[in-house]
Amino acid sequence: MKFSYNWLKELVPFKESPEALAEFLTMRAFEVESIEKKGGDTVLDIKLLPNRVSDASGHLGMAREIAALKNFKVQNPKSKQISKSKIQTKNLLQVTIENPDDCLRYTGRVMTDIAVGPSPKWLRERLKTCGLQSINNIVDAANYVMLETGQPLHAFDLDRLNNGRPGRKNIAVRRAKKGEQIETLDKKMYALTPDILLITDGDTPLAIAGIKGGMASGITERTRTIVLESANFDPMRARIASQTLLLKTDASYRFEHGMDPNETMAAVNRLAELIRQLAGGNIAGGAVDAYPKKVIARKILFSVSGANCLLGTDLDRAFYQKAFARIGCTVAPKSGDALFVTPPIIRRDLAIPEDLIEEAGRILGYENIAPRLPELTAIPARRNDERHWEDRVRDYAVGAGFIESMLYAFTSDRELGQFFVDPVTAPELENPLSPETRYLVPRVLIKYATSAVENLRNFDAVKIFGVGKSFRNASKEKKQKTTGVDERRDLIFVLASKGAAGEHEFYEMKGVLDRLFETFGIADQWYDDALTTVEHVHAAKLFHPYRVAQIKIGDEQIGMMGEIHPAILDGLKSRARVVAAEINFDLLWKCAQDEVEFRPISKYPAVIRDIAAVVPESTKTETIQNVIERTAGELLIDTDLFDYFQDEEMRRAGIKNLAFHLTFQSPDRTLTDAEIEKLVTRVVSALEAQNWEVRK
Amino acid sequence: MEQELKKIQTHAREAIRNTADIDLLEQIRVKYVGRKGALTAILRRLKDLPLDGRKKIGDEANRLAQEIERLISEKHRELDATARETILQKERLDVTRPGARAERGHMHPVTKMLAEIERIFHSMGFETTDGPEVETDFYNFQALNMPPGHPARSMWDTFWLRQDEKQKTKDERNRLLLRTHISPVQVRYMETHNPPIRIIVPGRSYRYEATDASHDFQFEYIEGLVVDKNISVANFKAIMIDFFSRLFKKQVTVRLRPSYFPFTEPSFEIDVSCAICNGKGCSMCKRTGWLELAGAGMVHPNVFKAAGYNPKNVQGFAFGIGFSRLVSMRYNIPDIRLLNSGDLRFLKQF
Repeated sequence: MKFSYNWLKELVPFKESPEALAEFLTMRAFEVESIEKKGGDTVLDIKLLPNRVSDASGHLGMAREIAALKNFKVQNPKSKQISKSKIQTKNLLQVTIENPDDCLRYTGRVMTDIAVGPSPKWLRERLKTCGLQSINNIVDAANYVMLETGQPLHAFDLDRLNNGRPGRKNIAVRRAKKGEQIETLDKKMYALTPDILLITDGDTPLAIAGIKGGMASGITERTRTIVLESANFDPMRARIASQTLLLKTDASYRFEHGMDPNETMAAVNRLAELIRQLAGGNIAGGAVDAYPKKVIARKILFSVSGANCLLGTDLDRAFYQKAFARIGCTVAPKSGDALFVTPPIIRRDLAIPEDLIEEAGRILGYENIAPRLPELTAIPARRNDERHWEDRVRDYAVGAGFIESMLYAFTSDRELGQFFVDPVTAPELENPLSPETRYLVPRVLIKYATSAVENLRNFDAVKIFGVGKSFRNASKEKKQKTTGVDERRDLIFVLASKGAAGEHEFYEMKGVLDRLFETFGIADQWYDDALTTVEHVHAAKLFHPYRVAQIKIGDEQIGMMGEIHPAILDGLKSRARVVAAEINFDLLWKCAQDEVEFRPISKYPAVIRDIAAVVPESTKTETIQNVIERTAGELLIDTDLFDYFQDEEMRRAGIKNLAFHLTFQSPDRTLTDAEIEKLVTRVVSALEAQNWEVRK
Repeated sequence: MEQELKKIQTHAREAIRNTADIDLLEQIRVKYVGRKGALTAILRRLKDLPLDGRKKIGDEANRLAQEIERLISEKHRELDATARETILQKERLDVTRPGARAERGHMHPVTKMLAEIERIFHSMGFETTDGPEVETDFYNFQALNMPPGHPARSMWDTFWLRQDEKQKTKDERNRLLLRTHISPVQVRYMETHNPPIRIIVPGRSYRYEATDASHDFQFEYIEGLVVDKNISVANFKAIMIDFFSRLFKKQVTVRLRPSYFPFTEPSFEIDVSCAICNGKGCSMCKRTGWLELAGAGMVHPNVFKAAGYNPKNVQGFAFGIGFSRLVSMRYNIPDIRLLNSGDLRFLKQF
């Protein structure tokens, strides 16, 4: 909000330059956002705190603040008042308020025989400094007094109002009717709703209450008699109207934040006096003043020791007493430690002891509070296991050559469609910024896969990972317990390489996962290509139907891996096959363990024998491995597939050749050749019993 | 015989010196000290000499034999070394040729900076915790002293979730939104924990607003909360000075400016003396010498009440650090939207 430096200086006798004043206010009250020379004056753009609009949105209020902080007095331009006229306002005007909750107070005065004309230079300049345009002396005077006091004011042409009771004009404050319209002073039409409060003459809308005046009752060159309005409206009502009509004004800003209804009378008197100076005329005696429920001051019980405890200071009672007196409070000592503090009503922000503590802190200056480390009990922080394993995942993935990525949590109909995901599962936003942010992403895998494809435009190979959130509409049973949206953290790995057939990438990914599990102390993971539940079948739709596996630890499914479905990749115009893994991170880290148990190193040599089997193409490696391990017994400590071979001829015959290293070792003796030979022979027979051709 | 020995010595020395071939060297050995060699022949003839001459000649012949053996093995080593040198020379590599490219992984800059921040706070006894990103109106606003219609709600432009109308009107408290700050976790945590409390909560929050180089609608924040019997503004200042000095690796000054948040009273903006120009004024701090890095305050009694605490028994402070901004400052990133871009040309730099 723009404040005139010269104006403030007229009100408080401070010595500071504009820059020094700005710095002072920034540290003690409000941030000064800019300082700008304008003519012979300087404009300070001061960012009022939202809870201080009621008392500081006028130059007088800002002057009060400076005076309180600097311990000065404000030179208050008191109204001399006022009327020598025999005409009484109450004989010319009546006011009715339909609902006292909407309009807390309505004060009106009437002036006769005024002469509308241009404003004098000093007034035009002051308005210009504060960012307002000069209209005519009446409107300018109303704006000037608002800038001075903070109280929004308005002037109507009395002759353009409908009559109420015989001889008297009518002001009725009421809600708009459905279908009602108003043309405002800037010649714009607004369609009104029953949420919006109006000033009417009992019939026609004169103004949108607390926001803007109407054209039909505006001041013109021919205006002779005027009604001055100084009112107070419910903040909620002002906010709703302003939002509904998308109309923000200097008045609406103030009413939205709440103003003190006790200020209306002084402001309207000040305005009448100023208009008489500028436009002549007579001020009708008295005022009409509808003020159904008077707002009275609050008394706060304040503890000196409590304040010192919160600030971390050792200030005495006298300091607090003086501080509160400076901001206009009435202070009465109670017992030893306590004070009764009654803040001025205009300080709507002061309601509880903590509010007063803030005032004391500001007056003291926070720079005068010496920093002191808290005397906290020396309990070291407990480890957050989830974070711990998240860090371990990151270390592992980076070590494995992956790049961590963080992505937006939003998705669109288009993106969901590309991945065959039903939008029903995705939480939808009521107010998306764009179609791209219509939903929260139900499977964060989608974002990573898309990102990988995008990066393939700049790179030949992509390896990315991340721990991201997937958001899903909760099922009905779950809805009772949660907010209605399931948030799940997924660990995602994606890799892709241009020109590759995807097969190598699949096994590379599997290797990446196996090493991850090993790092996490997990040994019983396995990969299952049987999709048992509908849910799994659904989830697997994203993947190549013959290159997908469920990742399981023991009996629990913790995720899925596979090649992204080529049809999806075609849709994304991907330049390579993309292989991805999606792991429920919460399930993963709960299986993880740091402890490693040492096993004695055998003193006896290990013996390695190779064995190869030619099997039908459809036979799984695991099946062969199972036959070998079941037959060989416990002296076989490792079976390692080292060759997986198929040439053109074998392809045509529908067979493949798998070769294994078999490692034999005993913990307590050296194995003899004969012993091993016997075991190998037994394995060969077992394999041959499956009708597989064995090569030793 | 003495002359013979002299001759053998001269010839052998010369032959050994002149040879450049390991095979020839072996022939020389055979020729002089081999079983049928010249020296061996002399030694055999010793028995024909008179006794006094026999010892002298014998000693000399033996010395000579040793010398020849020594010279040969020296020469042998020399020739070996030369031969190896020749091979090694052929194996010369171009050290200026680039090393083999092994793809290295990269940590996200947010993660790197967060690790630093967490380390500092953990050493001060803070624990890390988290809360949901889809929040209810209750935790995001009401429990934070912003009942429905509170004017301060407009300080946070909010993404609302679509819910069926019935659910919405039934209970305003349960209206769903994307958390606009991390402060809801304050109440969630206090509901399930007793003081003393020292936590930090890193996480994402969302604002319904247009984006530019320094604003994004999804951004990282770190919330902190300390609650005990008599935690004060003085304590808060000390923690902030300590934290930012450690983060910027130099002693910084912290100043508190008055501010307003509905869930703290008193409320502050936290300015830290610019670590780049030491407060002299530079482009990073917009020539002010100060960096505006956090909002904070003493927890409002109504927040304690919402969490089920008796505000008479506890006090504390809370702070929120705009984390995306810290990251962009640390790494000189001109546009914070890069952080969520997923662009590897950006991520590979960290």
